[in-house]
Amino acid sequence: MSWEQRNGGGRYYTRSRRERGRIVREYVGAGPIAELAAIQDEAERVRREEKARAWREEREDLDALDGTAGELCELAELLTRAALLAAGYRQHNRGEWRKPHG
Amino acid sequence: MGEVSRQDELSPEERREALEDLKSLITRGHDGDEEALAKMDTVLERIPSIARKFGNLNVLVEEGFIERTASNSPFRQKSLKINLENMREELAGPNPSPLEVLGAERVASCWLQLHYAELIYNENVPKFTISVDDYHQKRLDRLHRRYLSAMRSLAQVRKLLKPKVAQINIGEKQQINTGAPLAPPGESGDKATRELSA
Repeated sequence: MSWEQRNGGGRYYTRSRRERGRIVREYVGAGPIAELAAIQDEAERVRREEKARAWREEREDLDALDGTAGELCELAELLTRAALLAAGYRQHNRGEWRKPHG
Repeated sequence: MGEVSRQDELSPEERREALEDLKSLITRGHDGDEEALAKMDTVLERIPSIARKFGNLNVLVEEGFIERTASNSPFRQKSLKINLENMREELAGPNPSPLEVLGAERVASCWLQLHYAELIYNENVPKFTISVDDYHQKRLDRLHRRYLSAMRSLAQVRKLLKPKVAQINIGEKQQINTGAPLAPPGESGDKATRELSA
């Protein structure tokens, strides 16, 4: 979204959007209507940025919690494997744990 | 958790390093390295202290999720904590080994995570954009896998590492089952033994 000025004339408010992979510029106009459109667009941009920021924070929080939980899982899993190995079991093809014969 | 016990905790980098060390020990042990297998016994003897050094991760996880799941309802928070505590006790069973305690904590934490993830997904799915929906779907899949793996691991510990029930026949018709719970009224000791060893 931007204001354009051509050949020393009045200011025009324009919007750019992507259509089928191409950037299309729409001339909204000049004067109070254009001012209003610009205000609306700015409010919409701020709202979108807020939403994106909130989602980024939410995602970081979830990832941090998942990371801590992942560590707990990894620790328990490794200790279980260690206990099975120490008890003489071996894992076959990443599947079942069996005691080797002999 | 008190300050004293916190001083023993490992930093996140140290925790990662400890996990890597354990992983390499297991790989070596699996390949038949006797030294690694011998070291494993020492590690296993120290499970409670190792878990402590990891700083009660399950408490951190649970507090984080409870806060999010029931932030505006102290009653719900309390009941969720009680529910988790009961779940842990039930999963660990009577006289649990340290590994069973850790396994039960893991299952309860995984259940809470999955439960919370399903809750936020179901509540917010109409508002999600495609990319946000994709993130949540992948997360749900991951947490579901983790939950299943936690249960499988606990079952393995139970099945393969619990001391087997021993039967000592003293008299001609007398039988004492050690290591097995008492048979419920109306059931013979034989039946209980058969079920446990099945």
